[in-house]
Amino acid sequence: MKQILLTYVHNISNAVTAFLLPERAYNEKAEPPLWVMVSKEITDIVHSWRFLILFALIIMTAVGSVIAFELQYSEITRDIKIDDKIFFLRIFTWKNSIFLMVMQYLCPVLGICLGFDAINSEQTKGTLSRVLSQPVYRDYILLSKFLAALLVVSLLFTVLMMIMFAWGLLSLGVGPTLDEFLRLLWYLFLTIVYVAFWLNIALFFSGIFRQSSASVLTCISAWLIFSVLAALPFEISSSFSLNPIFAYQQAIMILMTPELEGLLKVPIEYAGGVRPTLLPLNQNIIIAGGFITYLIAGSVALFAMSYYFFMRREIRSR
Amino acid sequence: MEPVITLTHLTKKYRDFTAVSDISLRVNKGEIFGVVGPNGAGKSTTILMMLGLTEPTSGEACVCGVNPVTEPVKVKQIVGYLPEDVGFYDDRTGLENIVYTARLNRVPEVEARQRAFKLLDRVGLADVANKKTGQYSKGMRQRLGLADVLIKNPSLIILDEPTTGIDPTGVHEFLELIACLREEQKLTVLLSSHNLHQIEQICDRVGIFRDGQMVAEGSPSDMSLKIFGDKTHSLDDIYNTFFTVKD
Repeated sequence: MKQILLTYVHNISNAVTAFLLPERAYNEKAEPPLWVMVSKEITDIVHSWRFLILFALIIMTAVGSVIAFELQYSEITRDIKIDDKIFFLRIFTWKNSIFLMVMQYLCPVLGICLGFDAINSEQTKGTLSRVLSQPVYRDYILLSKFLAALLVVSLLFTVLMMIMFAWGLLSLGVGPTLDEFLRLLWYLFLTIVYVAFWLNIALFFSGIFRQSSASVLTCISAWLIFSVLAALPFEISSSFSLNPIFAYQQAIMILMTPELEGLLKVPIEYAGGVRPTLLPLNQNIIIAGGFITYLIAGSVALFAMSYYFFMRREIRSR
Repeated sequence: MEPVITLTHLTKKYRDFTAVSDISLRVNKGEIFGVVGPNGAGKSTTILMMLGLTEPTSGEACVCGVNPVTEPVKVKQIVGYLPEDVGFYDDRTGLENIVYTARLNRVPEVEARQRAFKLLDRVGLADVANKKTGQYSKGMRQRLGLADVLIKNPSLIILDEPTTGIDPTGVHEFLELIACLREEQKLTVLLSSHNLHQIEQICDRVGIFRDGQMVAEGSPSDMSLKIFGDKTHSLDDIYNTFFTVKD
């Protein structure tokens, strides 16, 4: 166990040195090919313009919502009652906050941009047959693309959440309760799964279509259709519950704004004007369970599908 | 002589179309074997089957004592394959590209760099080692491809039309390099090409492919003896006897 941990630390430190000091990053021991491929993919992602642009957009969203919160701080805190049990979460969910909404639209774009040309660009460049004639398993190609993108996204979001968290602590002067902290962890987890879902859609189409333009258009149209369906009034959009955007929206709403969850199911007039009480996190998770399970299962199913098609394909040069 | 490649009744069908039908072949250690034939005669498909990149419909291939269908990764450890029109990561340098290949073959990075420098020097790319491959010419890419194939120290290299698109002097150097490597390292080479003259220059034995079958096989002089009764005819003449339009 310790050995495994040590090799991990060694690998990570090597990757960091390779990034910071490319000339000195010599490694004396042979690394497993999968790791070699994943680290190459990570370098490719980090150096690609489209990732950098989305990265900038996400940072801007976070900074924007922070500034907006600071500007309207007094107004927000006036509205919030002192016994508010989800006081800390307000930095993400106060009524004019753009963070959750923008993230909900940016995540699919991020997933698509990281995956839409993963397989077909290697094919058109002619590198696919070159890599496949090396002693690596064919699934490493798919796996390395997926793992690299997921690693970068997880790291990015974790750091982002940590910064927002730290800033929240400083700005509010109040720490989160354990319940709130766990809710934030769930938010982070679900958002990463959500990106993985779209990443898998993109990987799937990149394996199906020869042209990366065809796969990006298909991904974008899927995103557009799902977005429109999710934007419809609740009575209509809820009938398309296999819509990943809808599933993510609902799950996040249930977890992050638990007081709205009751309103969602029973309009307040029918509930006799009684505002539903706040449910504990585990109850919320049970309510959102269907959506959460769908996002994870859908993600896995899509990966399995791209795997199936890719493994059966004959790889010719170009 | 120990055989490096043994194909027995190898057949590949795509639905109704038979790309390769019933090919049996033996290539011995240290030999340079040439494969000629028109486009679509099944040369590339045969090569793909030797590497385990496609499964044969029936028959069996055995490369260096390994069955590529059951142990594709092991075959790829010992066989270097240069596909026609090889692709590189254009935003990486030539050196980075082949070091990557070496590391996929579990060569430690330090050693990979040493080998890469040596090979780049060998194929005459030492001065452009740190240039991005996007700026390489076609001939340079093919030579880099050869370095890429050799960096894993293979015992067999398979070159699929390696000389298409290179200028005549480039071709000459390329072929000379291959002949040299065979002498030095006892490499076995399987080479497919459309240029009969080149094949005749460099190959010990030649197989002629037509419509998925190998219609003739042997050294050029042996084939000439068999067909014309003397050894003086060129591979060109031999080839034409199989592909002339008959009235």
